[in-house]
Amino acid sequence: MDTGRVIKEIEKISVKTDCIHILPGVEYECSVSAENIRDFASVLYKNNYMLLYLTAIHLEPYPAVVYQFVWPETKFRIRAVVFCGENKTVPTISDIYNGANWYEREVMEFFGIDFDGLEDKRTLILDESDKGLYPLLKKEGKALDAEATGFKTN
Amino acid sequence: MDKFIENIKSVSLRENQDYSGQGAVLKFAQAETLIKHCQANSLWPMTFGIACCAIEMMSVGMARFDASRYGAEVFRPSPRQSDVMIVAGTVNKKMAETVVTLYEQMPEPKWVIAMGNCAISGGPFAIEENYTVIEGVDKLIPVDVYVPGCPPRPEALLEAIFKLQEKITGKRHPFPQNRHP
Amino acid sequence: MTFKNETESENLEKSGQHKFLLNMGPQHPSTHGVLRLVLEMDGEYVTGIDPVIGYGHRMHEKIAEVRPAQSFLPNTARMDYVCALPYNHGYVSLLEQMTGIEVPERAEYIRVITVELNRLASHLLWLGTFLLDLGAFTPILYCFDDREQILDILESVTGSRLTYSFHRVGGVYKDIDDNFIEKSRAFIKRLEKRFSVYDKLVTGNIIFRKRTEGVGIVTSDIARRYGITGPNLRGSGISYDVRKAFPYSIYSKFDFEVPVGKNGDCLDRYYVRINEMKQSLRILSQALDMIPEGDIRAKVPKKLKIPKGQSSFSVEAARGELCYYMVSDGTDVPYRLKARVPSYGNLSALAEICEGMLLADLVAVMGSFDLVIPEIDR
Repeated sequence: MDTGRVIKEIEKISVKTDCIHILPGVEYECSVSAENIRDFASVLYKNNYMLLYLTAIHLEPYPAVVYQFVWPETKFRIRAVVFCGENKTVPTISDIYNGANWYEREVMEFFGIDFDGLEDKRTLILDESDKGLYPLLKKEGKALDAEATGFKTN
Repeated sequence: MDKFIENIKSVSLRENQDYSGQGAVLKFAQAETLIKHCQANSLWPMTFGIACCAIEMMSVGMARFDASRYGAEVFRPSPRQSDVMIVAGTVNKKMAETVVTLYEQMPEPKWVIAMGNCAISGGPFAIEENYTVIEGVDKLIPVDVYVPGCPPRPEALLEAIFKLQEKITGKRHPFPQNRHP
Repeated sequence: MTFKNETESENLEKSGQHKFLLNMGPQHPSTHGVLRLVLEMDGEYVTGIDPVIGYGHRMHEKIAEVRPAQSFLPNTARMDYVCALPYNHGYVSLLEQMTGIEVPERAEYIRVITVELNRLASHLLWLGTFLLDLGAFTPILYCFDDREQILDILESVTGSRLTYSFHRVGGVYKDIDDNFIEKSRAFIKRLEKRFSVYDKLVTGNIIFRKRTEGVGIVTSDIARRYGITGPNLRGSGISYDVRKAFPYSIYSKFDFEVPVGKNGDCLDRYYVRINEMKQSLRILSQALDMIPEGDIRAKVPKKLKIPKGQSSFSVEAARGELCYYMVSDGTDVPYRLKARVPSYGNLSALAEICEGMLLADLVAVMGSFDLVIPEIDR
């Protein structure tokens, strides 16, 4: 399968952004809206991509969730950035990629971002007594603007 | 964090007891010395690797360092059968309760070796922003021997075993110990 | 328990009343650390698995955010302590990629040589503990014997046995000498002969084969859905090795193959790792022959300012793909560092792979997965 076709498909639901540090020809970075992330993941799943990881970054005004996909056979990586809306909620992709379940639970307990549709909402790594601690959130006033860290918000 | 440790300790049944082991009313000096020598030369450690130090603990049991030269090679997976607990790694909030439980499940007499900087004081994780690591396992259970290092070399753990033997019997292990393997 | 008639017993069985919960860990010899599994059992069969992790959580990602980027290096070695040098390598490569520092060629060679030695040590440890889990005690003594030889070689140059901070931004900490090269060559010869010993000791053993053949099959679909990487993925026949797929450092200069399995069972994972060790030896001997003279460290400012932006870097660790992802705000302290660790994806698939198998087989599958738990918890 050629990567050109995949890029054409995902271009319909995402906006390509310029990556500042990039290994030439290896990475493709795009920004996806929260509504489209499930379609985005489905397209990549159908094209045999694998979810490498999922994580979040505490930014102002809204935190970002970062997805990285890789396809072993074409040697091509895709990184998608989703900015959560005001309610700090992103749709889950754990029914498309089952491995995302753990990553989403981890993001939930470390950043307080809610995943809409995620069934299992127990804590994963932290102790039960630490629920609501959100250790990876920056201290008040320390969180930076998205633009200041090189993200394109629109 | 201090409050958390207090909570854990209050669960502990033997909080107010003397851990050093109760002596008999009637003393048999000769027999006791003999028993202590037997105990010191057949320590059964518990396999309780938490993090990095566990690999060095395994090395101690393997061919090159060979803890069986000093009678301490029978690593037991069950606390009920062991008398030395080697805390090899970082203890965090989630793990704390388990450590205390395991310690209480061990039969008397029992000893604890805190292996590595994490078990001694939190090591590299004792930072200002710390939210989970217990800074020193001695806040939870009494410790007999501390082995510094990150991780300590296997020779250091062997030395800890000698120190423990010295503590039990009052004498150092009689066999040659200075030769590097 | 006695039953009035057969239908009652069947009904009970159907309603699941024979099932019980079994707690395994966090202190259990075959969980390789502090993993806890809550198992739903039906007699001897495992019907459901719920892994509970976090007993080794040490807030590495938090520490990365509060101290200068170069001071975080010792922490990278403590994530996966069995195979620490790829973690060093990935982290310094990421910083070099972001700051645009050029690394001298000799330093890259030294990096590859030490990483491959470390990979061999890790696989040897895996071989020993895997067979220990299956009930064979003898092989681990042989494996540790070989492993100590590697540690001696690495210690002579890195100064540490386990948790190295040897790779530095812009190069390596210390140059290797002729003695190191000589000892490494001698070790390659030694290990090549040892493979036949392992082969005789393990591969043909009927108990070993019965316990691994057809057990714990990872299909390519499961691997993709859960993000399984490394030898566990290659055992299923997918040839994905970061060293070949996205050649970083100087791996494109070496002639080596990526061993793959066929069925994706425990036996295939065993073969893949054994063959990977042979390939590592090939890379090693090529690197030792090709190593050029020159500097070992580029000039790097003491306070390393990382330009604004985000970047990621992947390397092949012993357990699979390790990916660092960093967001920087232009200062010397990273804004966010994420370490994608291979065992995380590997373990999350365990529940689906092991459902319905015998408890003893679950232990075999876990052994063949080569899990390092503090790496998962970070």
